[in-house]
Amino acid sequence: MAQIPDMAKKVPMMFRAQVEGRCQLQRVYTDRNKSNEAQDSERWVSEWVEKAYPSPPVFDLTVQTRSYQLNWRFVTNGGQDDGIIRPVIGSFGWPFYPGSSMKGVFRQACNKDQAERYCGKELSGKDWQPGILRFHGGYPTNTQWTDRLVDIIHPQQERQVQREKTTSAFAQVSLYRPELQFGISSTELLDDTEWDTIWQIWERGLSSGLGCRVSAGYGQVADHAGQTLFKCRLKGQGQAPKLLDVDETGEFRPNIFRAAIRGHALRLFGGLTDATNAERLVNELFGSVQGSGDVGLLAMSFQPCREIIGSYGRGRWEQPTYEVEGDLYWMLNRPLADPNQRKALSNLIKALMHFAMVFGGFGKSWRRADHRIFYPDYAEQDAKPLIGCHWQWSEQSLTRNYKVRKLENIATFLQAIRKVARTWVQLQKANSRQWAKTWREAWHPQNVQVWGRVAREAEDSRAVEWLHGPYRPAMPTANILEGTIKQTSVTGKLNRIGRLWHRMYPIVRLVRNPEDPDGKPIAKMRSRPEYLELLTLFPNDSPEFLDFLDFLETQQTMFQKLWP
Amino acid sequence: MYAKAYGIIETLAPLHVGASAGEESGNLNLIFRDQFTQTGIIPGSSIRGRFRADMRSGSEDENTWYGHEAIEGREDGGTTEAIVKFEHASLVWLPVFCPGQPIVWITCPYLLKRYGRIRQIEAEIPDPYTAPRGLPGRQVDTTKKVLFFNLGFLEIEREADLSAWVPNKEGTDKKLIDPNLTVVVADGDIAMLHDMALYRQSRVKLVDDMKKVDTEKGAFFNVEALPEGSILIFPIALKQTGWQPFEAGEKTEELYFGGLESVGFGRCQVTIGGKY
Repeated sequence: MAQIPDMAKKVPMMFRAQVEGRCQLQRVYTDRNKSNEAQDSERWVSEWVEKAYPSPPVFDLTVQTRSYQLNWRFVTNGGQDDGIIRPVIGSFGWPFYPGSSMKGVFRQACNKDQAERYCGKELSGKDWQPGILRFHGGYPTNTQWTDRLVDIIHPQQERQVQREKTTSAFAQVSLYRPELQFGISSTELLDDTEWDTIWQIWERGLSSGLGCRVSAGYGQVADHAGQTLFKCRLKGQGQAPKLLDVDETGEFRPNIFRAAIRGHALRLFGGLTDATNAERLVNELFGSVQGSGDVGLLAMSFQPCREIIGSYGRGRWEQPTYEVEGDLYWMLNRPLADPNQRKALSNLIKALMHFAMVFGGFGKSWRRADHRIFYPDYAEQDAKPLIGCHWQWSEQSLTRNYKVRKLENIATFLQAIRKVARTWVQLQKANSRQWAKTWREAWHPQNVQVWGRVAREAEDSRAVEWLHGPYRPAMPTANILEGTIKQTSVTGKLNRIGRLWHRMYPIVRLVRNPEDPDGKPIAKMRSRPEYLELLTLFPNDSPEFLDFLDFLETQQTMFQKLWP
Repeated sequence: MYAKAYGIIETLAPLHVGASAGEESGNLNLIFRDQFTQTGIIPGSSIRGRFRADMRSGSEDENTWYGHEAIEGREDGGTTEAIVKFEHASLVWLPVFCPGQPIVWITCPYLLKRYGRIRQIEAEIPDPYTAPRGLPGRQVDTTKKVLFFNLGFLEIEREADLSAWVPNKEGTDKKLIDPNLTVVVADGDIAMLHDMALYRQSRVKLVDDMKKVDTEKGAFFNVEALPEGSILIFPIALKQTGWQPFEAGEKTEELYFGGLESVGFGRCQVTIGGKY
């Protein structure tokens, strides 16, 4: 054994004990982010890729290959480390999609005859006749896989919907937008038409997603043909999450859609049935690891057509931002126990998307309207953090999805949404006389109020000022105290979630359809739209909230109560 | 009396030749190992079976070369002796991937001895911890050349040109692997390093219609395999020449060995040399 000073510190991360001070791969040390020190996962990954071979393994000429671009991240868990999801490392350091996983996906996409011919057939006495195909697995086609390997997981459902709680982020290792080449060969000579069939089966398999975490948008190929329940095109801007690297790279992460929709489902169910049932319904829809685990009914995939990662602010306020537009797909992830419920499920996911779009945004700071659009006076100051995000339907999806364009529509809209959700509750036999009373944001008439007004233009947002200054100036002569919700339990503050959502929902214009002049009008976005300025409140009994509600009810006329 | 030939196997995919059921440990499907060095081997019977099966699909008479199968009802069984005889394939060079250092191919004196005997190499067998001058070491504040393995930091103690021990690519004077990336380790260490070098993967059965572990039928099981890029050798003895295992005139061909062929394991490039 060689004599080396500080030997223990030079052992590669992959060979260290998973204990504090050595290599805790999944752990995110928040103080290291502040001091620009690399996380263990970053070091592990940089050691891994440093000497990995610079060119991908090549399949032999007898192996048929096809390449596919994935639209976001991809990971198939190697299962070699406890406590972290990380890729299978194949020959010479290249990450690898195992042939065994490939065969599994392929087999599921086959009909019975195909499965028996291609993947093998069970004979009597537990014996097997092998199939004719070999599945050689998949490799990234270029070295870009070495970038952005460290991925972040931050579960926060409880904190967002149910109760105050500190949550932490974890590291995971996944490939960012890889192009993967897959190989299949046959023990028999096959003609081209049969190979076409084989690749068609494989592509059908691909549409169910590759690797793990597929229901959260991982492992989805760019052109998939899954069982789409609902599809729409959206565009938005906001704060991009930072990755764990020292440069704090910003990344648009499509799993924000899933997190938002899952949260809204929990809120709506929490207002219709008891907490246990509401959680069960959400676990069935979106999956969970509770008990023996649920595979969610819903999977999603986001195919961006435009994506710009920029930055906002200076110095310590600097934040990565995104501007993105693309198609969001919600797909059936597994067969329904009762196929007749498919319609109810697509209605439900559609309703949840409409609900999300009318009342909030997605991802970081989703409870706030984007201050860069609606409060430029604030946003243009130096040394201010970026607040809010703004999402709207793209032109193609507008007519079918805008749903509300008047304040009066809100009550009927909510009634319809709750009806769809209630139908699902009943179909799943999750009825209860109770509702989730103790949750912060259960959507029940006793727990939530929606107030609104029409804003004539973007800068005509009134409530946004209340977030940063008093809503009522003090008038000592009239014995009136200053009223403010700034930095209180109503609005929340850094690392504390408030009880107020502020949304500026663009009002569309209805015009005659040039292609069908006698038919229904179509929706168009104005170049300078008006907005429904919506405040969603989840009152608690703090004095500042009671005072604020009193102000809304008796001392102002701009906002009117829309629901309940 | 016998013509002596040999086969070189280069693995192009992980190679899993399973051990017998008695040697399985827990839910890890082990590969078959040589009892002295504890490194992976392909038994002669597996090699013979593959060659025989491939000849069966051709025109030549497999029974002549590989021996006649037993015939039911005949008193002596009707079997004949094979003309071509195989021994097991043992490792010559095994690639080891370790973060932060180049991929190096390792071997040990015991394995080289067998290789040298089969190839009739005159050169003296190098001592443990010999590597060529061109081997890049690891940067760890020492003037010595050091590599990290799962045993710890190992120092290269001697320098020597090892290219005589690296087989050529068929029909060229190019080497199968870069002779500068080779290291001879001790006989007693290779079992541990072999453990580090093996390809490992967990597998599990999912339920038929969704991505969920089939907890009723399936359990996690791990599979190990020799990694791709491994070089093995096996000797062949023939009672008469004229054996033509591949297409006419070809000395090298892709063959599949071992199990899990349908999931991409076992693809190998096999080259036959010597007199046959």
